Order: sequence, then C-alpha cells, then structure tokens
Amino acid sequence: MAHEYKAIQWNGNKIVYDLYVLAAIVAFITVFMVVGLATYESGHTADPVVLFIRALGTCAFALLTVVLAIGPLARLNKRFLTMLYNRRHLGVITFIISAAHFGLALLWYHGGGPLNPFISLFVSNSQYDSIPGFPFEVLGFAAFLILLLMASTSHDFWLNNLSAPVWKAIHMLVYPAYALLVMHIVLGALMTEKSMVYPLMTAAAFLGVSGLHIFTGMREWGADNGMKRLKAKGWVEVCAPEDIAENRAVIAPMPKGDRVAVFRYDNKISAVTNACRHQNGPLGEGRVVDGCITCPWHGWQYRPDDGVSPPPFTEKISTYNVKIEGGVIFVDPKPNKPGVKTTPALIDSNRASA
Amino acid sequence: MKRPHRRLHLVMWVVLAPMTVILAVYFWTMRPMTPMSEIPSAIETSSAEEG
Repeated sequence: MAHEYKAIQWNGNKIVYDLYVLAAIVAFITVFMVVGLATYESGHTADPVVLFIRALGTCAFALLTVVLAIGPLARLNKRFLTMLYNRRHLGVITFIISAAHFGLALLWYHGGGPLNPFISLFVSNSQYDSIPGFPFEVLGFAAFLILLLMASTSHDFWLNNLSAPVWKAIHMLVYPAYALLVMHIVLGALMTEKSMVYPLMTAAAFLGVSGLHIFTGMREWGADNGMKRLKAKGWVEVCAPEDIAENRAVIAPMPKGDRVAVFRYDNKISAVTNACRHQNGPLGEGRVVDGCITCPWHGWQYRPDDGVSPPPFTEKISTYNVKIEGGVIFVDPKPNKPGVKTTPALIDSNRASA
Repeated sequence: MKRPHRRLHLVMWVVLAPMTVILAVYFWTMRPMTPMSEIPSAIETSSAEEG
C-alpha cells in the first residue's frame, strides 16, 4: 500500500486481465477495418490510414464508455467488482489508444505542411462559427489533454502528494472529457456519415453511461435522504445478520450523512467507515479476504475490528460500535477514532445459517 | 467519513448529460444535407447532367 511506490501495480490476475483487454482491442480494430473496407461504397477507395485513425478513435471512445460504466455497474451488481479492481489499468490503456488516434491524426492531417502540426491543428480550419465546418479536432484535443493529465497522475505518488481531494477533482474531469468526445464525434464523423449505425451507437453509449450514473446516484441520494428524514437518535438499525452474505457487507447510511460498511465474517459483525484511506473507495462494496476488509478499487486492506492495515502497513480507518439485539444489527452512528479496536457482535449461529 | 464526491458525481451527470444530449442532437440535425461522402458522386452526377 503506502510504504513504497510502484510504477505499475501488476500481479498475475492483472496481467491476465490486461492480455484479455489487448486481445479485445486488436479484435475490435481488425473487425472495424475489415468491415470498413468491405462495406465502403463502390466507386471510391477507402483510405486504410483514415479508416485506422477512425478505428483507434472509436476504440478509445468505446473503452472510455466501459471505464465510466464500471463504477455504477459494480454498485448494481457485485459481479462487476473484478472490473472495478482493474479499472485503473483499463483507463491507462484507454489513454494509450487515444494517444495513438491523436498522434496518427495529427501526422496524417497536419504533418505535411509548412506549419507546426500543433499550430496547424488550431489555424488550418477557422470555421469556429459554423456547425457543419466546425474544427472538431480541437474538441478531441481538449479531451486528450484531460486524459493525458489523468494518465500521468494515475499513480499513488501523485495521489499522496496532491492529496486525495485534489487528485479526485482532477480525475472527475473525465466527465467533461467524455462530453467533449461526444461533441468531437458529432461535429466530426457524424457530420459526414450517411449510415445511422454511428449516431445510434454513440447515442446508446452516452445515454447508457449517463443513465447508469444518474440511476445509481439518485438511488444513493434517496437512501441518504431517507435516513436524514428519520432523524434517528442513538443506535441505528441496519438489517438482520443473515441479510449479509459471508465475508461481505451492507452499506448503512447514518443520520449525519456518513456511510458505514457493516461486515459479516467468521460468525461476527464489525462496522467501519465506508471510505478507504487510499482514494475514498467504497469499502462496503469489497469483501473480507484473509481476515481483512479489502477495498474493491485497489485492494487496500484493514482489519474489521480495529480498522488498521495489516503489517507492514500503518493506515487506519474509523470503526463503529455494533450490537445485535432481537436478531437485528444496530450501529452506533458516532464513529470511533481511526484504529480504535471494537468488540465484534457475535452472530447466534442457530439463527444465521444463511 | 463521508464520501461527498459521489453526490458531486451525480450533480455533474445531471447537468452534463442533458446539456450534451441537447447540443449533440441540435448539431447533428444541422449536418449538411449532402453528406461529404456523397459529394464526389454528386459532382459527377451534376457534371453529367450539365454535359
């Protein structure tokens, strides 16, 4: 975790995951090229370079769509947690594909003239007041700069030195970048595209991702507001122990807006803050691995009873007192200081055999 | 500990998504009547008619 920095956090699973992603990218670009060359209207020759540039751009957009969909999908279904764990790698791969698209397009369209390609990008087409003729490349360039900033800071060194809130704010720029890319596609490829396939796929991608984010966000907002309306005093009722799967958690909103991850493990119940020390990852969406709560984002670990990372790590998170009364778990909404040991509530094994 | 950025995520999507959809649909409806990909054949047809 935090005792040393690694350029790329790879392990066996991540290498296999990355190989699958690379195979999917190669397959995507190959199919795109073959179909593009085969279906190009007769009478004109499809330029393979232009088609390749478009294939790279389409691939980068598709990858970014997947990256943005992983978060809400993991909140809706735990099957997507594996993808969440590998999201950072997918994000950097997305940047590499977008860099290939940008570099090749810059060389192909702006590299042959007397002007510097970067200057040519801004001045070769000055129809900023026209919709059909708008220099859409500028929008793509702006999105690329955001992805470049994100990829170059996608490292724990920057997370620690910029502080989590600043780092998170930088990485939330991915949403404006995605909107810029949609505009880049609409004002670029879709201005001249006769087929309805491109517009429909772009619309489906954007509406799908934004719908997922808005749906899951509204659901959480509703749950939080529901708790606030209750104005509960004292211990907060969560659920029955058997409602929590073994080595998993439920996330319980507290009256003041905090979220608590209530874990069931080894016939015990413990509660910690839902926010990981690393990047505020949702601990309650993770699971208990080797006796430690494991963050689904990047695998940071904490012991359930005291919220302390196992040696040699020293990170600490807040714990919450829990109790079971009448077959129901209750959480004291007042957090303990990070690292304070609590007594787990013991589950009556006759009751909770689920 | 709160994770306030999740709420900010939602606000960003609620603002950005409709704005992007409205602009994208408007821009798309303003595309040229003759797609660029058809221009060479359109010129050829026009030339043939003139000739």
